[in-house]
Amino acid sequence: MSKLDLQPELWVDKYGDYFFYYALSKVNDRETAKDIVSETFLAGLKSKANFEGRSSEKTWLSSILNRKIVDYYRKINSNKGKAEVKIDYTNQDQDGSWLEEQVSSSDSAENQIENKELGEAILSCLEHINPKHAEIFKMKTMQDYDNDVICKDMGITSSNLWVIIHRARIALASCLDNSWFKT
Amino acid sequence: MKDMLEQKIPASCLKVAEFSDKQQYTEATFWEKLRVRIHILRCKHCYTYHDKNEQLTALIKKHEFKLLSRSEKEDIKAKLNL
Repeated sequence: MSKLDLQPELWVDKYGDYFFYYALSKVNDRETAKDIVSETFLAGLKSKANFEGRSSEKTWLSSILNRKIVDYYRKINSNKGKAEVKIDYTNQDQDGSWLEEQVSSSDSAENQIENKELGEAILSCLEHINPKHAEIFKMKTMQDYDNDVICKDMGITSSNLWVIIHRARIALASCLDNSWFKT
Repeated sequence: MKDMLEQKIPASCLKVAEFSDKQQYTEATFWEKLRVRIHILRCKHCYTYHDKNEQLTALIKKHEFKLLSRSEKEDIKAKLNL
């Protein structure tokens, strides 16, 4: 396999959302997830000389991300006695129902896993298109930005916006075709 | 679902594709939606495109995406000195 080159200048735009999404699913805190992602990229930059090119850039960065998540849990677990479970039951009649509530949660574990996989699949597919187009698509489709804001921020016209959205939707649909569309 | 913009597709189909895209974001007018509905009755290519478009929208809506904002990305880039 030929040696792959790293492109750190594209990391944030290309993998930022995927890594953030992944980290958030593991730590459940936006600020922590954001810190973990920036630490991951920072560690990647520092150790880029060690990258041998035997795996893809994303796989290499993912392994750093996983180590950062493990480090985060090690750190909070080492703060003995600080961990606490908050349960807001105020009267004795409600004692013991917490577990049942968790089990009967409307969103089953299976659905949660499928949703997480779907989210990861969509973000992975978007890594294969032009980063600017992917960013515009995400702003429009997933973050509900106004057209005017997107056009102003990204320096495009309204008609360009729809052409980019069209191309992104086609690329995404064809990427997800085999695994997610039941035709 | 091939890129309709890069093939020799009739202008009417290109317009319908645009209206179909707008419809996914509830930005199509009543007449634009009507034009899509009538057009796909007789155009298999556009029917397939619109159908896939609707499926894609449904798939994305199933999921609540929590992503980094533009400013958060700029913050990270600044930290990395990129």
